[in-house]
Amino acid sequence: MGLQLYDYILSGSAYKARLLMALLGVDYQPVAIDFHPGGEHKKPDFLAINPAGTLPVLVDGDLTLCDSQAILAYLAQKFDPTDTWFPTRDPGVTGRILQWLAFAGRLTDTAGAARLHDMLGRPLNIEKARTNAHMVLRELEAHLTEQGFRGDNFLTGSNPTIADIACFPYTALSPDGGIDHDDYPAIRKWLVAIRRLPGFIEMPGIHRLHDMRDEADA
Amino acid sequence: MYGLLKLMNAGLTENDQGSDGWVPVVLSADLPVAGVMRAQIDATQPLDLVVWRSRSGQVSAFDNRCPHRGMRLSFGFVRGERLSCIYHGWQYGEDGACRHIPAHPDMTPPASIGANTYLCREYDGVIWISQNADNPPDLPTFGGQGLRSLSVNRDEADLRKLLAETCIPLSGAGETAPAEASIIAENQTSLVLESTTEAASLQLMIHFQKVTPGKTMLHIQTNPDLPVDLRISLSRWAERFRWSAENMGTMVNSWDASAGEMRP
Repeated sequence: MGLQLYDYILSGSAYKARLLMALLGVDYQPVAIDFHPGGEHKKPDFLAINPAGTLPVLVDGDLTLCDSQAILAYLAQKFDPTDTWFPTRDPGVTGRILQWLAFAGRLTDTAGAARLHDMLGRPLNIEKARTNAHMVLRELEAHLTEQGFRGDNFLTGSNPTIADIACFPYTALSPDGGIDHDDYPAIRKWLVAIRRLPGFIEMPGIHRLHDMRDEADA
Repeated sequence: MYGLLKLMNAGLTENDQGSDGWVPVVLSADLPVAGVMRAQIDATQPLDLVVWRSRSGQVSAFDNRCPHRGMRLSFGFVRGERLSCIYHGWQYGEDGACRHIPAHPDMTPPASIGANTYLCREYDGVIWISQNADNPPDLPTFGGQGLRSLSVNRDEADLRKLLAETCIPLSGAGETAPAEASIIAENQTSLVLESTTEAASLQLMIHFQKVTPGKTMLHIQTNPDLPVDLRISLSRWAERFRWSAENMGTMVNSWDASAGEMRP
């Protein structure tokens, strides 16, 4: 039995795992969970697998991981022979990557929540969520601006790491929650840099770059 | 001398005010080849625009609305020298004319189908938009380097006042205290802030884009070839300036001059 990913196509968190596995060339078996409208992730069969009732869940033999950030760390350590997606030799680099993984959680709680409100009608103080999302995006913009001065295209250096994969989906999807990217030129450039990675895959709301498509420019 | 005389002479005239003038919408470096972005301009008639750069580097601006179904063209993508709507793929050339309709690939689109276009000039590292064809651009020359654009939830007039009282860093993080700066040139679109000490001199050119009521985008340029650590210091200065501007009025006499923002 290989890897299994309990998945939902519209979940930005599940997409993190799908995206990293695509970039690493890892095969897995998806298990579709009816998040909406079925609410299957909050029912006993799924809660037996993940008591938190969240997606995604990665199962690898005896191991079950229920947190998307932890899944990224595990996948990178296990399947990245180049040790670039989650380098752990330099404590400073590791610390920074873990900090951005935590930051990704704040993106989910703000921009991700606004998107669930707008797309699936989840109850929420939407104005507060959007205001908070913009505060988080301002932090990201300021950091990426400085990275640009240093000549680095990604969050922790010139190569992408799981930090970028963790922060990418809910930043890219934020317009679905009424949070536009108009104010964030550095974020716009970073989103393009990630979409340009070899092996990049799409999800609904996040498209491949036109010039990365097979049928580019007829 | 960064063309400062020209900037001062541009002056403020009634004709130059409002939506007929040229409005900065993005630093050149922030709209790469095949880049597509949305820009809003607060004017008598508020504008919602798509600004895009073709494969060959040409910049164009249209109303942000596909003539077909009204989809925002800023969700679209660049195909060669055309902007393609994400909804049904209608393609528009830099002149706004519809060139291709995928559902009718053999049809030449009628000349009547087109996006509403705006004048667009890339000048001195900044992309400018205007609605008025008869009004030639009288744009400041600086020869500087783009630092960053920054949105601030505050009116332009307030920001101009606050900039007159700011201190800016002249070196990388913490090496020296921020120095007092003064506005040495100003016109209807832009101002130049200068700070000079015995050791160093720095100029910031700041271009103002009224985005929506109460919201302004600052497009900031610096002297060319500044070291990375100074650029980082200036970016952080911009963050602090925004904090001060957005919190002004909610705090009383609490400006911390030593921290490098407003003087008390």
